[in-house]
Amino acid sequence: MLKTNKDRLIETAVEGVVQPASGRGFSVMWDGTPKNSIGTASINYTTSVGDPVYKWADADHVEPDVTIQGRDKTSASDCAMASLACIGNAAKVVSGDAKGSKGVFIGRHAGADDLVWFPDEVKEKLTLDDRVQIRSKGVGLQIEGFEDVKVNKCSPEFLEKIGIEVKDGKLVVPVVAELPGYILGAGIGYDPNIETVDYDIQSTCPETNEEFNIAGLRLGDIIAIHNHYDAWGRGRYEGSVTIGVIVHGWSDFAGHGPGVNPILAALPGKIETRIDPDSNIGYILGIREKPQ
Amino acid sequence: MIKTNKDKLLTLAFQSEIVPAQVVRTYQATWDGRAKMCIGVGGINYNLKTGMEIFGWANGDRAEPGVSTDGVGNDGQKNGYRQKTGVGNKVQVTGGDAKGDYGTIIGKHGYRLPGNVQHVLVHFNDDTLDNLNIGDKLKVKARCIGLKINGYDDVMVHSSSPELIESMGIEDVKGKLKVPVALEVPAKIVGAGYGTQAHSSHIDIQTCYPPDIKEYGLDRLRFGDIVALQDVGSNYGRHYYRGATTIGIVCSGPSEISGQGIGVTTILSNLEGKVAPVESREANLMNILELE
Repeated sequence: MLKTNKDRLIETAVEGVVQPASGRGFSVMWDGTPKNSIGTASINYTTSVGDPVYKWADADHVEPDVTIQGRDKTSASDCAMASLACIGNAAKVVSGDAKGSKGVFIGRHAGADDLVWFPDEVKEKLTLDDRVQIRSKGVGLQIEGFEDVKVNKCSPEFLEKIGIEVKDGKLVVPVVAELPGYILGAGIGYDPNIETVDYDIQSTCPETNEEFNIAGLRLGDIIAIHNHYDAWGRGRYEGSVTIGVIVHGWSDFAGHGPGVNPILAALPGKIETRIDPDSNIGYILGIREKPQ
Repeated sequence: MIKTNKDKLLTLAFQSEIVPAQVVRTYQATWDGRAKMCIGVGGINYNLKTGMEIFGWANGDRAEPGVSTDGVGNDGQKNGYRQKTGVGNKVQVTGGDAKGDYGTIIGKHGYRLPGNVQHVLVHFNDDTLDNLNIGDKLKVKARCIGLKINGYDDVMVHSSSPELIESMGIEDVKGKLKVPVALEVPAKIVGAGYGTQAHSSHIDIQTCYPPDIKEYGLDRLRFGDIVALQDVGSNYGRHYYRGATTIGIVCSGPSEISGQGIGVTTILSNLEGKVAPVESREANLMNILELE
């Protein structure tokens, strides 16, 4: 069992509002073809944590469940929720017909933005200006004995349930897939903040899509990115390992693809991985039933 | 010798101005968590010029050679200047102490820079440089959009004047374009700029893993060098694509920000290997455009 500093974390309320979807008409894809995309923002009745990143009709960057945005600053990425809300934090609807309903924060896609899971019956009651409060807790989280491993966007409860083991002075993390850093694209180098910005596993090279089975990934999967050190930004460092959570789906925009929130990062020699096909936040957080 | 459709290109006037230097007063976090006061983006850089080495400048981070400019008017008009001007187009000073003097466009730089700015970079000779001021108005007779190399409709040409493309020493050999470049760079070290549109701004060669700098010969690069990015496509947007080649121009110095680095303005792209780089130390804008 991992030991953490969870008793010293500050727990703070942050708030967002269900964000309406917008439309841009047709945009140009990597191969020059046009696409009228759907899938970001709003209440997604079709797609939930644990569903595939690929296959949804005309979808691009599809976000699972319910998308909310902070309103306390002009830009959603500057709002408190963008930096402070962590995967596994408790969410509560505080206005409208679904007032009092409970959900869980499941990640952040810069641009659309903050993602919350609610049960289907709550989704039915929600509407596009409902307010959602998150009890944010996780900023500053550290693993005892591994203070040089950067922990990002994790509630202590989530971190403890991932199934991380300590072996020979290293953290062994269960992951669905091992990916090379060189196929990571949009969002790399975006800025030094890892709290507010995801970055994309590129799904616009047919050869690497097949080689690494990108279409087989699911929303919420925990994956390893080799040769990237996402501690203060997102970028290359040979031998480093970054662990991330898939927050949004496939893209046909050049350089884009399934989005990743980095959750653990270390210089070489601190993180190892083992393959576990069930390493998905839906199962870990108990919001999706494991297939038998 | 290659031939182009230059006689069919539209020539339009675009107006711009010299923009101020950009800094972030709170410091920027480097890839390893240090605070850095970064300089070199924006303004008139008196001692950074095309042909000079890109490494070694004190506190320099993504430093731009020459004079930084941006369009005037509303956002659409600014984007017109950023997208429809080409390297090699002449720039006339239309106001201020250097009125009537001419310069030459040498690059486009603009993804997640301090101030979130986008710049078109202009070379002036030393006499003109001394007489320029921030805010001076400029006019460009832009001749760039639609440029094609005869027989190579599937090679995309971006941000280039006919004078640049015809003076680079490109040869048509057995169905391939042989392009002289100062350096070939593998996709594994390419970073910020993936996912952006190919007709403006730039993509970065990452410099956040220090051993790469010597291993891949980045320390030999100079402002204005022509480089090849292997397995990078820039047809419509910038992305990893196995077998593709992108040709670009070094438009900024290195960076210590994670995922960022040496800026490259992308000018040629093909996905199927029709662009074949040939190493040449002469492949620099100083020689190609005969800059003073």
